[in-house]
Amino acid sequence: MADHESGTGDAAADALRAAITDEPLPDGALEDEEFAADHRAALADVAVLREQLKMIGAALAEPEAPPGDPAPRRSAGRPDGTPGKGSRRPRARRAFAVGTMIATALAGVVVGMSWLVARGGGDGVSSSDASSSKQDADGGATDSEKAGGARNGPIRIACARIVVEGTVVRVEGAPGTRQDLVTVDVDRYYKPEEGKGEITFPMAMDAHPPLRRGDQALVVISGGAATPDILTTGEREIAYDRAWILKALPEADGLRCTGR
Amino acid sequence: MPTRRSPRAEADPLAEDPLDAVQADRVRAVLALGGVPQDDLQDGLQQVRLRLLERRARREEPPRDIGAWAAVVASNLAVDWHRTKHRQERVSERLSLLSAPDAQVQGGPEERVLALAVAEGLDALPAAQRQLLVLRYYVDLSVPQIAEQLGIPLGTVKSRLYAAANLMRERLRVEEVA
Repeated sequence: MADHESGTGDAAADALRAAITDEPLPDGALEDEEFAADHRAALADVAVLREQLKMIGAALAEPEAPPGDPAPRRSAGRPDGTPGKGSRRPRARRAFAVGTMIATALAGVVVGMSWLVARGGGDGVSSSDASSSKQDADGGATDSEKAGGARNGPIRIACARIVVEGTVVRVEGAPGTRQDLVTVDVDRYYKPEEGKGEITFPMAMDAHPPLRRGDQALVVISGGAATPDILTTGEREIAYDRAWILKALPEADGLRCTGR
Repeated sequence: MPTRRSPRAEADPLAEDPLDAVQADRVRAVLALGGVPQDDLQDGLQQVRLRLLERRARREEPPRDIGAWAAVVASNLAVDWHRTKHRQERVSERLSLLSAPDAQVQGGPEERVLALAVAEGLDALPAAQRQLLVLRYYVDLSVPQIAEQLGIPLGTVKSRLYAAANLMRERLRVEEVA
């Protein structure tokens, strides 16, 4: 900060006000030596403040880096696997880095793509005729699909920002974009444990079949994404996803996804 | 009803993020400076994106300066965070975690002490003053721009900024003496 001991009283206050607002000074103001010194000091202090805020803002906006010595995160515990209401889970200050988890968003995308392949492709189309796909006795999915979910589940959940179930209440196109804005009235939060009554997210307009008001949906949005990685409709399909999510949640609790 | 898998926006070249990378970074910084916890920064950024898309959906004219508009929305979100008593994160605590020699805060020990002092000053400010300080000295909006964007009188902006800057100066002067 400036070395000058700024004066007291109105002159110093006026000097600070002038420095803050960047307004032109009255004619002759700088001829007063005391005011001129106060003004210079105020300008210097404001410059330091600006510089520090830029640096602090840049530092805070960066995602956390994995620490040198990992420590496990405390888990709130889910004895029955269901998410609970109440306070957020306490978070340890240090993240727990898992050797097999590559702490980049790219890893999350790769996992996501393999998940999409296992679930029958990324084009969002699945036949409404259940008999056309290989269904097992669990009525949910093929063995390869279940294997993919079980294998990648904890990573997927660790990297997810929001995991919810609810009802689609609104789908409106955003003019000038190729996106719809979808609003879901949330019935159940998986991650975080609680949140707002509704969530809204953009989704590509060409998702097929189109979402409609009243659709039950399960939504997973990862940390760095605006649109969902997973948006599941259909009672049977939602039940399948719910099962691997509930299984993955406690495992994901000990992991930290550090990608953006 | 069939399952749907929606491709991520990043995979769709025609899907667009209403904010570019620089604007998004600035939004995250404004949220963080406003005390929004690290874990919630992405949520806050998402809310800003949605507000912009909702504007388009309502066929409102786009903001003249999207970056400045987004920063103001982010600053309002940070104030709301305080009001609705969401979990707040003290900027100084977060910064102290980053202040290890190999961490993101650049500069020598004196720089880190100064940064921490500024961060503690921010934490001590009332939310409304903090918001104006961030908009003026991080986002670099002029006083009339702040008044216009927030819809508050020019005199109110000046008096709050003065109070905030004065408090910060006093705090930093105490740090110097110490």
